Formats: sequence, structure tokens, C-alpha cells
Amino acid sequence: MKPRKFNMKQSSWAVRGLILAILGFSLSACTTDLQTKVSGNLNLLSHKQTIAILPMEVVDKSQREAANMFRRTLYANLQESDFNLLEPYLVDGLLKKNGLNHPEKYLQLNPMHLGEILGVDAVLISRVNKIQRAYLVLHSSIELSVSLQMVDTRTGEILWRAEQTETDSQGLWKIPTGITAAVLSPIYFVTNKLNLNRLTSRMVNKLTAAIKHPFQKEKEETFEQPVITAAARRDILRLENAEIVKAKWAQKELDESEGPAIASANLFPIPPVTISAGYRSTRQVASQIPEPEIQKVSILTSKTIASEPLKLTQTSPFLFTIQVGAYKTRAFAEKMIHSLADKGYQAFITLLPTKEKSLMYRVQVEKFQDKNQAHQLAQKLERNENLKNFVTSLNPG
Amino acid sequence: MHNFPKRVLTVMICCLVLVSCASPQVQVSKYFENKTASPKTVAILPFTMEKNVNEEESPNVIFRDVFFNNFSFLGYNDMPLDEVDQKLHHAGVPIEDAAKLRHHELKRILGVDAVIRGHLLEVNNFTAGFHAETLIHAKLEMLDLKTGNSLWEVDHTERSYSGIASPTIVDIIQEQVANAKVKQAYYKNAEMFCQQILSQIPDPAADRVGEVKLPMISSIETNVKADQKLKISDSIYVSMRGQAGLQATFDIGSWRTSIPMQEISPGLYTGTYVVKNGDQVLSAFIIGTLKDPKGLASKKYYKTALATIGKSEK
Repeated sequence: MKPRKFNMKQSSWAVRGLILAILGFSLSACTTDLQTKVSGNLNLLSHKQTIAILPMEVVDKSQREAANMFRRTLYANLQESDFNLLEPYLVDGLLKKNGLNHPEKYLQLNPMHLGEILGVDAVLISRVNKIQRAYLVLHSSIELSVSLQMVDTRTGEILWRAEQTETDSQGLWKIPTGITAAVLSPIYFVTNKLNLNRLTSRMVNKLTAAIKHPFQKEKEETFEQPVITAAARRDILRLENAEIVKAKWAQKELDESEGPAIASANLFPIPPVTISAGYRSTRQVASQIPEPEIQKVSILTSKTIASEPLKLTQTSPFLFTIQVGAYKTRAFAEKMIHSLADKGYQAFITLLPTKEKSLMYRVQVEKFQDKNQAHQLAQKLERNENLKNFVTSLNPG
Repeated sequence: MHNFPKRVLTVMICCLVLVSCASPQVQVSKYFENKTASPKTVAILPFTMEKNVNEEESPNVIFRDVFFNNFSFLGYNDMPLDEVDQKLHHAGVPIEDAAKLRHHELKRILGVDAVIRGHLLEVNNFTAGFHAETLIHAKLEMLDLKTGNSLWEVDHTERSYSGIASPTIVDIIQEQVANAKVKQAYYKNAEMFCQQILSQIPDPAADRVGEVKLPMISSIETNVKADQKLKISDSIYVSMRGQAGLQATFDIGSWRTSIPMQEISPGLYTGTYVVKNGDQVLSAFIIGTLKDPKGLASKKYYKTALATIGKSEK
């Protein structure tokens, strides 16, 4: 038997077939369109801090099952990251308790609000944009598109943002092994529920690579500067504005203190009974006074060098002092006077009942009959100790 | 002759059906119907393998990890696998013998309501010629440690196969390549196994919504004042009132986190941060955190003023 000759024409067809096969293989491979960006601050979150994966938003109800599957797969995948995940039943329970049953509203919420509700450091908010199964006789495909956003609940910063579309298909591109396979496999592919599972699993693997290894990200995949969510920005701005107003009030109070001292004195109905106390015994004195009785006293603290109680006489009806702080918590006020005492200031606490029937612990420094002297010390405190303050009158009782 | 295409069609359909895996059936016991008695805390015991199974990649370990990752999505309190292994180790129980222990012994060692036992009856990863197959045949069971009753069990074979019956050349090549990475192949196979059974395992999540409760924080105070810029050696004092006897920390935004606080009297926690050289942060919230022994945390934000440290300009 003569060996069969392989002519040029046949070899040309073989090469073409091979090229077609390679082309088919490359084209038919599962396609991914992934856009992802991480924040440099994502690294701050990677040390066993807690994240809640919130229920996914869906465009229509038919996507609910796929959304649940995606969330479950994402949760299982991120279990192998550095993050500590809040268990989904807790997430869902807490959201439900707080009436947050609509995932489409999560993006509008201030992330700090979610942080307080869930007790987590970050939340992962996600949405199914599209699930599409297509069948065209010899070709079928499944397409899944999602977007995700991880937000730091402590700052409102977007730590990770991603949008991904994953497509898998079956058809002539994959070079069927026969005519029947060419006809049947697209049908089987598009109807088999497991294929969506596989696609989801593959998608999640690619997605989470970005946050599992944030140090390895390319420059173009990193936010140039921190991006704060609109809801958080709005609330922080509101708070900052409130701070400015408060600072203005403090300034105004400072200005007004130069006016009629009697009016301001009327605001302080509790006569300051001074208790002479050295620095070491201040804590004891404060702790020895039962809570109800403390309303009737003010606590003086000072270093031994300034321990002489001021004499209150009829000839000096008004005294001036510098107020450097006011707290609802006595411990803070005490800490502050200790800190001032360490620096050589004679600081003391006076009490002010509030409308809520609780007490405000005001930290005040020194007492002067001469207002100018009070102002001089006020400036010194501002300059040397970075303490905002104002001069006010001290009711002699 | 005209019957030939029909026969081919029939054979192809059979092949396609055979290639796909049969859906698993989780058998749920009647004991699970009593919802009040259903377990809350669960430990997943080390999975075992048949003695004749010889596989270097420890598919039982891979399968257990994957199962834990998926199972913890459900509304049980799952004991971390490391903790399970550690407790067994401390009790002097060899890993491979854990599943043989009686229920009251497991209860004493692990202190959970139920355990999950897993046994791999058959595993296979084979790649040769056109043939590529990864298979996990396993039996899983949840055991109630109060009564010793089986609460649910499942016996399932998850197989990914490609070969002569695969419909396309590309599928065959792709499967060959994927199957050659043995560990990943087992991982994927285990993932599919778990995804299929998970929806059938009873999930108490909906029944536990009412008991979801975080530690209580009633108030948080700090000495941070509006429009104040802190500098070196300044201190941020934080005081928080809440549930007594828990672990308290505070954060300055995400810039400094988990700064410890001390419980100075029942339910009153205080902590301090002293500003150091080089510290710099702009408009950060002071956030108190209270954590219970189970690791559940609640947070409270101090909303009166934001902390600004250093030379940052607004």
C-alpha cells in the first residue's frame, strides 16, 4: 500500500481549519467586561474589620433569585478575605427592624446611619443590572451584569466600586462535535440553571480579586483622591456648617460678656461654693460628693501654688472667669481641670442645670475682679494651649 | 436509513442528560419541624474520607472549607473551623475520630446545639486524552447534640465531566485545562455541590429576626469641640454609656481605629487619644464601639463636632 500523499491544497485547508479553531476558541471563551476602582484607604479596612453585604437591588422581581444567589456566592467568596463579615441573617434582621426593606434606597442613605444600625465598619451595596438569556437556534448566551460599591461607614468614603458584565455562550463558535450537538447544546446551555451558577461563581472570583489584594492594584484602578458618597457629603457638610455657627455663638457670647454682667449672672442661679482642694485630692473631693448634692457646689481644683480660695465680698459683686469647656460628663471636665492644673492654671468646675434637668459641667479658669486681666489670660490660653474660650462673669451668690 | 438521525439524536440527548448531574435531595427529619427546638449554634466537624480514597490534595479539607463558607450564609451561629479543631485538639480527640464521638461528648467538648458531619465516599480527579473528570461523592448530616437525632442528611455526587460526549471541542479543551489544576478543580466542584444543596437545607434566619439584638449604647461624649483644631499633646477624651461588662473601643474616623476604652464604672467606658507628632486628620467622626463576647458590635457616632487634627485645611 502506497503512502497517501498530502497535497498542498489539503494542507492549506488544514491550516485554515486550525486557525478557525483557534479563533473560535478565543472568541467563544467567556467574555468579561470589568471596571473596578479601589481606594487607597481600603487597606485601612483590611484588618479584621466588619463588613455587611446588604441585600441586592434588582431591576425587576424576576431577578430576585439570581440576586440572592449572587449575594450568597459573594459572601462565601469573601469569607476567604481578611474581612470579617456580618452574618446575613443579622444584616437582614437589623435592616428589617429599622424598616429598611428596600435595597433600592440603600444608596440614598447616609452610610453612617447604616453603620449605626448594623454596627459595621463598611457596607457593600450592590445591584443586578441585567440578567439575559438569549437563544438563536444555533447560538445561545447568558449575560449577567452587576454593579457594586463598598462604602466606609465611618467616613462615607467609597472604598471599592465595580461594574461587571459577564457573558458565556454556546454555539458554532465552540466547534460542535456534530450536527445534533450544534442544535441541542445551545438549548441545553440556556436552560440549565447550573450555568448561571457557574457564571456567577466565575464573575465573583474576578470581582473580588480587586479587594482581596488591594496593594497589587494598578494606578488606573485606584481612585486619585478619596470619593465620599453624596449622602455622607451632604450630612458632613451640614455638621460642619453647624460647627461654624456654634463657633460664632461662642464668639458672640464672648463679645456679650463684655456687656451687662448681671444678665449673664442671672443665668447661673447656683452660688459657687468653693472647696479648697489641692490637686491630689480633687478626685477624692469630687467622688465623695453624692450626685444630688453636687448640684449645689462647684469644685475648685488647682495646684498647691494656687490653692487659696478667693474671698467673696460685698465689695466685689462681679468676678470674671474664663470658660474653656462645658461637658455633660463630669469625668471629662475633671480630666480637663487636671490637665490645666498640670500646666499651672487654677481651674475649677461650676455646674449649670440644663432644661433637660441634667447638669452641665463647665470648666473655668481663674477668677478676676479686673476684666482686662481675664481677657489677657483668655488670649494666653488660646495662644499657648489652643483652647477656645470666652470671658464670662462668675456669680458670687 | 432514515432512522439513523433519530438514533443519533436520542444518543446525544442521553449523553447530555448523563453529563449533567442529578439534583441532590436533602432529607429533612421530622425533628426539624419543631422550630423552637431547632439548633442555633452549629459546628462543622472535620470531614472524613473513605480509607481506600487516595488523594494528595486533601479534598475533604477543601470541601469542608467551601461548605463552611457557604453554610455560614444561613441563619445559624457557626463556630469558626479553627475553633472547632482547637477544641477537639484540647480534648485530645484526633481529627479523624471526631465524627465517631457520641452526641453528648460532642456537646461537652464543643458546647454547640448541633454538628455537621461530612464523609467523602468517593473523590476523583482524572485528566487523560479527551477525558477530564472531577467528582465528589459525599454524605453530609446535621446531628442534634441535645437528642442525638439526625436533623437532615444528604447523599450527593457532584461530577464535572468532559469527554467524548461533550457537545463542543472548545468545551473539551477548556475542561481539560481547568481539570488539570487539581486543587482548583476540587474547589469548584465542592462549590457547585454546596450551591445545590444549600437551598434545601432548613434555614432558621426568618425565625430569628426577632432575637437579633446588638449591644446597647445610650450615649457618647467627647471633649472635641466645634471648629477646634487639635495639636500635638492635645487629648481626645471619649466617654460612652451602655451595656455593662463589654469590650469598648473608639475610632477617629477610619484614621485611628479600635482605640481601647476602660469601663470605669458599670456601663461607663472612657478612653483617651493623645495627638502625636505627624498626626493629621480632617473632620473625622468620633465613633464608639461596644462589642459583646460573640463579636457582635454596635456603634454610636458623636454628632456634635468633628475632630480635626494637625495642619489640614478645610
